Amino acid sequence: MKFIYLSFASLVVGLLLGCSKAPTPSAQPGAPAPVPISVDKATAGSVAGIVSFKGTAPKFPLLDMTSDPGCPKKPEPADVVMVKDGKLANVFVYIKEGLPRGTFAPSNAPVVLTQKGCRYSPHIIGIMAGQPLTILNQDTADHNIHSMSSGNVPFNESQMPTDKPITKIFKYPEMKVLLECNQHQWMRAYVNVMSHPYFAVSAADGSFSIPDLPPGEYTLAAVHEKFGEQMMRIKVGARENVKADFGFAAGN
Amino acid sequence: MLAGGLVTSNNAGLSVPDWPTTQGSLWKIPPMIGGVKYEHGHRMIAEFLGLLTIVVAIWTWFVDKRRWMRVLTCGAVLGVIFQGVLGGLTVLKLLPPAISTAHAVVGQTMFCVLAAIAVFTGKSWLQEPIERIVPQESRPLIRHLWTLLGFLYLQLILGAAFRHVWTKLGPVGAERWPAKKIIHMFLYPHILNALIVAGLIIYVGMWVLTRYRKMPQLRRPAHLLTILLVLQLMLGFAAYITRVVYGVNELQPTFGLVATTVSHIGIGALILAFTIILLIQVYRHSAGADRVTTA
Ligand code: HEM
Ligand code: HEM
Repeated sequence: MKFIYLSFASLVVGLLLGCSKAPTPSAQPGAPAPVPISVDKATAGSVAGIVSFKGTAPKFPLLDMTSDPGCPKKPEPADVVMVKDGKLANVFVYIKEGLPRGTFAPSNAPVVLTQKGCRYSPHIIGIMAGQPLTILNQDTADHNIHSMSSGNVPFNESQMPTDKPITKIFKYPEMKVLLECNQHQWMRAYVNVMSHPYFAVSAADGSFSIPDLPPGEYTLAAVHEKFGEQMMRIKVGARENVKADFGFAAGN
Repeated sequence: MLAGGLVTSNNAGLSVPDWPTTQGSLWKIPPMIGGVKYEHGHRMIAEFLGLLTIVVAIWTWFVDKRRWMRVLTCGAVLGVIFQGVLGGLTVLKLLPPAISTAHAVVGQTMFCVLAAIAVFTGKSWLQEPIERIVPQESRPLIRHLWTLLGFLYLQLILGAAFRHVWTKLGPVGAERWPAKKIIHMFLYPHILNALIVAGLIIYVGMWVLTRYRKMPQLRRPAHLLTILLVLQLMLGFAAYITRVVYGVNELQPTFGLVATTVSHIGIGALILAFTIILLIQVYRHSAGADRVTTA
């Protein structure tokens, strides 16, 4: 009897240890030797469109931020599902397949994540692997920024109102890295770390645009944190501006 | 225990990123707001508890002639320190579920060790039991109690594993594990094992309550165990509802979630402690059990 539960218990512990292994940065086996890609802006096209939403958006309770006097006193709407006039914001749109083989040099200009009013702005972030992410605290409240990355090195740092900006670099491509603040549990942002610069986030009016795309055939994907991912094939000719609209619906 | 549970239920485990310092300082108390209130509160309670344990150990060393009591209390100090280091590690390693679960399990164990110390130093321990159980009866009872203890630990490991994988890697965390997988792997076994635990508690409880009614030191823990079991099963279902049914889409831990999960953990710890106390008392009341002697 004792043997049975001992072995079962050790199994459970073993499983746990197995699932919390240190992250292994994706080494991308078999990747070709990096060839830097340069895109001819004269022939490049683009893709742009609108993300719409059908049906009634799921309701989330208003956020009560009064546990911290440094946060807004009034309840505020959550930013999980933002639908306005049938248009869906915070959808991450990106080229999933079809880009020429090789590497794209990351921009040196940092992507800025601001903590203001005890919220993250923006809520959905697109960034290139190797590009700096600068984190600012414009609140009178203390924050901690905890990255729950699995493909990159996770981190957790606190940032007081008077502290200097924090700069982080994600070295490897990874989708949907959760950033959270453990002092204000409603603060959540997602970082999508890309190997190329062809991505955008839909604005409040649902619009997005990806410029400077080399001519070719691509799989374009749109992913929302609650409604999942949609894909479509697009063909971009030289200097062509392709239109691509996505539609999400309640209950999928 | 409760303060620790509050940290997890409020997902505040990483609100203070550094350890053994707190926001860079060893002494300064940070503003106790938001998640920091739970996390640092838990640290300060733990530190105070550690201090008390050291006091108990030193006191025992001078006052108690029982050598094994001195060893036990010193062991308790080491245990609490170990627990504190585990707590620090959970923070520095960003809450891997395995370390968080170990911290939960060792935490409950330390609670039981302290409860046992309280029993060993109680007044009634110093008097010889008036009545004793014959070995033919005590031996199977002890065997059943050890079995119950084993299943309780399994129950604790499964519950803690579920809780920590769910909140860190699951739907309210990094979303790396689908909810279904976590439920199948940890929660269903937890519920199934609850039936075994319940069966054993009822069996052992009825056994003690029918045959050893006149031994208050056996009757009391057995009585409490059966009452706590009923409470725990109800709280378990309540925790299931607040965590799995409603909790999936919540952006802020609700009062209901925190209250049900934290009390489920608290009662769980009491069940574990009273099982150990009952076991100790059965050993003590068993005739010819010379291993457990009085001062
Ligand atoms: C005697 C000492 C201690 C005891 C008895 C104790 C007990 C506990 C318990 C019972 C829990 C709840 C586990 C759960 O919810 O499943 C917990 C959580 C926690 N404890 Fe402790 N603890 C102690 C010391 C410490 C110390 C010194 C630290 C920090 C430096 C610490 C950090 C934490 C953290 C961060 C959590 C939340 C874990 C998570 O959410 O994953 N603990 N503790
Ligand atoms: C005798 C019976 C039971 C015992 C001793 C027990 C014990 C425990 C313990 C000790 C934990 C938390 C471990 C920790 O993190 O420190 C836990 C968690 C949990 N248990 Fe139980 N349990 C019992 C029955 C049940 C039942 C019947 C249910 C549901 C139907 C249940 C549902 C849960 C849930 C949902 C959690 C996770 C709470 C959370 O996510 O915060 N338990 N249990």
